[in-house]
Amino acid sequence: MNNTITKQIEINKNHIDNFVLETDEGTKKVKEKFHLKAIQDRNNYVNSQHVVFDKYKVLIENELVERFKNKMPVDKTEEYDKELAEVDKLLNLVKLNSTIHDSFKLKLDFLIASIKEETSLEDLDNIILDFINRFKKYGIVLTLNDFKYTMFTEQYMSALLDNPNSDIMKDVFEKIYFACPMIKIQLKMNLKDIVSKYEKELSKYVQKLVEDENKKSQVNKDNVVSKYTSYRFEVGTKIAVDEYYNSKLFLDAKKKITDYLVDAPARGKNYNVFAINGDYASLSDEDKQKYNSAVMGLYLTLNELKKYYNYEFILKDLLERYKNKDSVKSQYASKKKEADKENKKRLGIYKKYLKANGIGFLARKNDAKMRNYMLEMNEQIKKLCTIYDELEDLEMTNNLNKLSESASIYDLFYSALSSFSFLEKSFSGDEKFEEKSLEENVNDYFKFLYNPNNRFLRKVNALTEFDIVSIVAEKYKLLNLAVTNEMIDQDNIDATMDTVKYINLIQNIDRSHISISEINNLCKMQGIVVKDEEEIETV
Amino acid sequence: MNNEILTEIKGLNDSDLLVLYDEVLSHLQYLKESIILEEKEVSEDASENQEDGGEAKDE
Repeated sequence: MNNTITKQIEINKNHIDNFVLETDEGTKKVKEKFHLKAIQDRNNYVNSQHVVFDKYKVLIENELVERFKNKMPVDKTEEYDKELAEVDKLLNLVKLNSTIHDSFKLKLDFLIASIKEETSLEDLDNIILDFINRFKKYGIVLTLNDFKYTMFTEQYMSALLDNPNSDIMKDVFEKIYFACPMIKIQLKMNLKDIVSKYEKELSKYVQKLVEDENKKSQVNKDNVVSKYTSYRFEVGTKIAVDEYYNSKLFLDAKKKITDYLVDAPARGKNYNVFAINGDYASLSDEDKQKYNSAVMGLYLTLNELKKYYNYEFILKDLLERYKNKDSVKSQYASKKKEADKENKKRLGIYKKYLKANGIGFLARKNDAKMRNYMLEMNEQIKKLCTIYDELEDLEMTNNLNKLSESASIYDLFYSALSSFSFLEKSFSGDEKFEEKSLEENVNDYFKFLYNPNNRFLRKVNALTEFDIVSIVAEKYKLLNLAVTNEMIDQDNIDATMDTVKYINLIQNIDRSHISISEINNLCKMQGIVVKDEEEIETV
Repeated sequence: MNNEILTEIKGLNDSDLLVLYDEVLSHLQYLKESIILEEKEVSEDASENQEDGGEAKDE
């Protein structure tokens, strides 16, 4: 570098290093005096230069602080949040336009599923009141008549409708609980019964809702999925190559910039992992280009594969069910008949109970009979509970009859959406899904199915023998990448993904308006900016 | 002078400016060490003289 400061440094050093500190002339005392004087002169010179260079230091620091402020990429989080909300909105439209049940579309299934044994009384009441309010929104006013599933649900709901959000409900619950420990389950079944009772009305509401929402967002049933996937891809790519986010990874020390610089040993090591000859640097420019493009694809495929592993148990379950799909057809039909029959029995018990309660023509109150019918009802509900469980289980298997022989992995995964109870059971029994609510897990599942970067999900036939690890590995071997089955199996995929993610980050930065070396400069500047800010604070 | 320096600083690209900053920092360190070293030599000489029973230094 050739500038005034560098030149001054050189002159400075020369002057200090060659400062004459000794003399041969004169007596010892003269020599000592000369020496002391020379030291003093030299120190004075050094001190004066220290002041000068301190000023230069401040000038450069001020300039670097200014440049850091100007060159730090803009944080577009707010903009992205809006876009991501738009992506979510489109996903909701995808769901609304899909073939899932109306109660699933309206999220009534989630609401009902949230009633569990451990649900608090307050939560239980809130769920039921929320359910009633939602129906009001759909244009259906629910009354006590809708809650006469059993004498217990009627009793409970009669109190709740008269005293919403009241402490009285605790006493009501306790009173009912001793006669009917299954009251929560009965209320849950009552809500399910209401959903099926108003099936047609709900369907009309959903139809209108879908029409309105589609119109508002200018989509239709045929293009909503492609609109969603292309917009999600667009926003996702923007975020992946965002200069601010990628710089922050290094500025916040989540990644070490020295590992990413062009000559960094870590860079060579990571790039060599997938190079067919183990030496990326030795590849021709054309091969390097091909390598980079293939690794970009590998990154997306491994993300897909990782999520596939996450949901593989669903696929395995469905494939197992698929084997029995033919025999289940008749079982499902007879189970449905059985459910209808037992449901009628429930109604019969309820009617007899009313009579024993003195309600109806020529009816007389009979406490002993009432108690009997209450016991009978509890037993009947237990029976119905089991039948519905079996029916729901058979329903999932029966739905697989709709699959064609050429169904892809995606088709099979998609068929799981035809049974809410199947999804509920799938996500409830696995600890890896415990951290999120059922609704969040199902949402993630939708995102997995409609990922714009899915590569093999829609292409691989699910109903013939397939080995997804080999399919993926072979594909990238054909693209001249060193990818083995072991590298991407369930045990090793994380480690391999770390390497791909490393390369992907470099690729994303290369595609953006900031370079690794510019980020490196920002990191260096940040050290000065932080120091500068600390000093200002101290002052 | 400072204005000229400032113009030069502004004319440098980020990498060169950061290199220059490092040079200035190390030069400041060099200047600091230059003073300390000389003083040490003098005081060491003086203490050696005292230990050897040499002449007292002129104060």
